[in-house]
Amino acid sequence: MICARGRVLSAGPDLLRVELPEWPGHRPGQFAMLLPDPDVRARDPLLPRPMAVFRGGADALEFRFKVVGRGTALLSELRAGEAVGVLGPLGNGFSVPEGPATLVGGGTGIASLYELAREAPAGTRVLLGGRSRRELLALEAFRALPVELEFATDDGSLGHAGLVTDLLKPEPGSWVLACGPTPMMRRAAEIAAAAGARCRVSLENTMACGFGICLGCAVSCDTGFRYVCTHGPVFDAARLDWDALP
Amino acid sequence: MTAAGIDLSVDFCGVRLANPVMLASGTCGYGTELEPFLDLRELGGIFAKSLTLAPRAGNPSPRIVETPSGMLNAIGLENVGVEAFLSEKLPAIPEGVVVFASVFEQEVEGYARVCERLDGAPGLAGIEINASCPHVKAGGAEFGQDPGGLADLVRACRAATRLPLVVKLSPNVTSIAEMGRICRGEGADGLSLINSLQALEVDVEARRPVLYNTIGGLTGPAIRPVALRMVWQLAQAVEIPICGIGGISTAADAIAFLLCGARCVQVGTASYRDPGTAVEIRDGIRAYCERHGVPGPAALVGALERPG
Ligand SMILES: Cc1cc2nc3c(=O)[nH]c(=O)nc-3n(C[C@H](O)[C@H](O)[C@H](O)COP(=O)(O)OP(=O)(O)OC[C@H]3O[C@@H](n4cnc5c(N)ncnc54)[C@H](O)[C@@H]3O)c2cc1C
Ligand SMILES: Cc1cc2nc3c(=O)[nH]c(=O)nc-3n(C[C@H](O)[C@H](O)[C@H](O)COP(=O)(O)O)c2cc1C
Ligand code: FES
Repeated sequence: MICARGRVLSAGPDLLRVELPEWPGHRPGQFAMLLPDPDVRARDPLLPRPMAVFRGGADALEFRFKVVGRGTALLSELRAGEAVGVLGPLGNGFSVPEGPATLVGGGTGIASLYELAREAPAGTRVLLGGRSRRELLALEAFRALPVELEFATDDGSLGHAGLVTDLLKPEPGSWVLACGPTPMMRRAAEIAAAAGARCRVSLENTMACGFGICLGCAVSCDTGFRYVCTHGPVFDAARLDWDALP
Repeated sequence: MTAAGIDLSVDFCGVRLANPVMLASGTCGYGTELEPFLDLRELGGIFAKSLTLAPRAGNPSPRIVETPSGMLNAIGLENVGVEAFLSEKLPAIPEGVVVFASVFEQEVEGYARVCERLDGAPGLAGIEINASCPHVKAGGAEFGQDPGGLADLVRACRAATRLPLVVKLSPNVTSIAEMGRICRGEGADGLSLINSLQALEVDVEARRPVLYNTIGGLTGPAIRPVALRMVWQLAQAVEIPICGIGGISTAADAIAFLLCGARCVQVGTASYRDPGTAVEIRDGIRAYCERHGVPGPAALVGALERPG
């Protein structure tokens, strides 16, 4: 784990690339806390934002995101050469499944799945959903992978017109690995359970610290509260109290 | 003494701190969580997460939300409990780190029992009483808001331990000076302030409070001027040592607290932005002393010059 200043290589409406020689490497599904302005006097935003590492390493660490508020807007407006605060790698990440698996990504959650899709065995299905074709993060990068790729959009602008979980038909004993809006992950978990498949989900809670000191990112599990930043973000879907998720 | 002749050490309630910069309770876990980012021995010390007798789960999420220059939290009483602190957490902290335990309960008797358990624990420098807990018997007002409740609390804790006893005051009061005098009268060795300010944030689209608990505690740079005012008022009223807390993120912020009468400071929310902040603040205090020809931070305590 490091807390350092990276140098922005490029940024845009849905992407940030950072050079960070100290980066120790990471596993698929791990994340970093990003500060658009690492100066100690900066207040806008005050807290760093959690962001999945989309792909890359020390020479170019890449993040893909959707601008939803102030923090992501500032990340998208960074210019090449500027400093960005990076704390990571954080969280448990996904274990790459050995057998057949279906990856289900929705909205911002798509970014958490790319490296997993890249490392997953041949024949892995990847289902990506969003409001419209334009909202599907990193579409081209996924298309370049040797996976079975299917899409769902609310407006029908790409693939199935409807929910991405409509496409989910897991084999018994296979893995379903999902990241996206809570209702999507919940539905994926239900379909997996009904089909006798195993399901893990990656949660995208609000965080303050990202490494276990604020206790702000608690979720309720069968054994009590767990922290998304240190115990997660990837959890066994069957152990989560879905009614209590924010 | 460093080469430049600056002595960063300060005395707080009879405990010698290598420098005046410490970490605030609830913002540094049990210390070890921060080790990947800094050497705890470089700090004045740490105040561990507030402890109750039994381990406690906290509030459901959402527990935190960012607000202008600050954040609200409603974590609840979540902690590992005093026994696990003593058997697992405290021994894991490297030797040489000044550790204060923080105590939090719902009844006076509970506070006193936690203090008793902590008394004499190897490696523990002192106890901080978190007086911002709702007092169930007094209808839920914070202990630190009710003069009678606060007096009972400090008396009971004082009787339960010989360790240096620091009372962490609630800012949600009319007269901080009165609360400080009560603590001193009941035998507190020092005072720390401020804890978080009661606050609320609303999600207007959903027409709901953002936090599950509705009310949360405001911390971060937004509260710093309020905290400074309270430290200054308290320093006028009592002579026991004060530890300043509230929105400190730079050496200048910390020095402002010293000038207003604090012997030392605690860094809280700023560690979430950058866990190395406290060490940078220590370095900045040294640089300030060198620049101003001051022998060390002890010489800055209460040195606020007022017009006229
Ligand atoms: C482990 C983890 C990994 C993440 N990875 C990614 C990623 O790779 N790409 C990405 O785009 N996001 C990701 N997120 C979500 C991202 O952290 C948030 O979108 C971001 O913090 C929002 O910050 P902001 O300042 O822009 O918005 P804020 O001002 O904090 O919020 C603005 C509004 O957006 C809403 N909002 C917050 N999060 C989301 C969200 N995820 N989707 C839609 N609305 C939201 C808030 O409720 C609020 O109403 C991840 C979160 C976690 C915990
Ligand atoms: C998430 C969070 C949890 C906290 N938990 C505790 C606690 O357990 N006990 C306590 O005395 N203070 C607790 N505090 C208050 C801090 O110790 C400190 O008084 C407050 O945050 C003000 O300092 P700051 O503005 O530098 O953060 C907590 C603060 C935050 C933000
Ligand atoms: S975000 Fe602070 S504990 Fe998880």
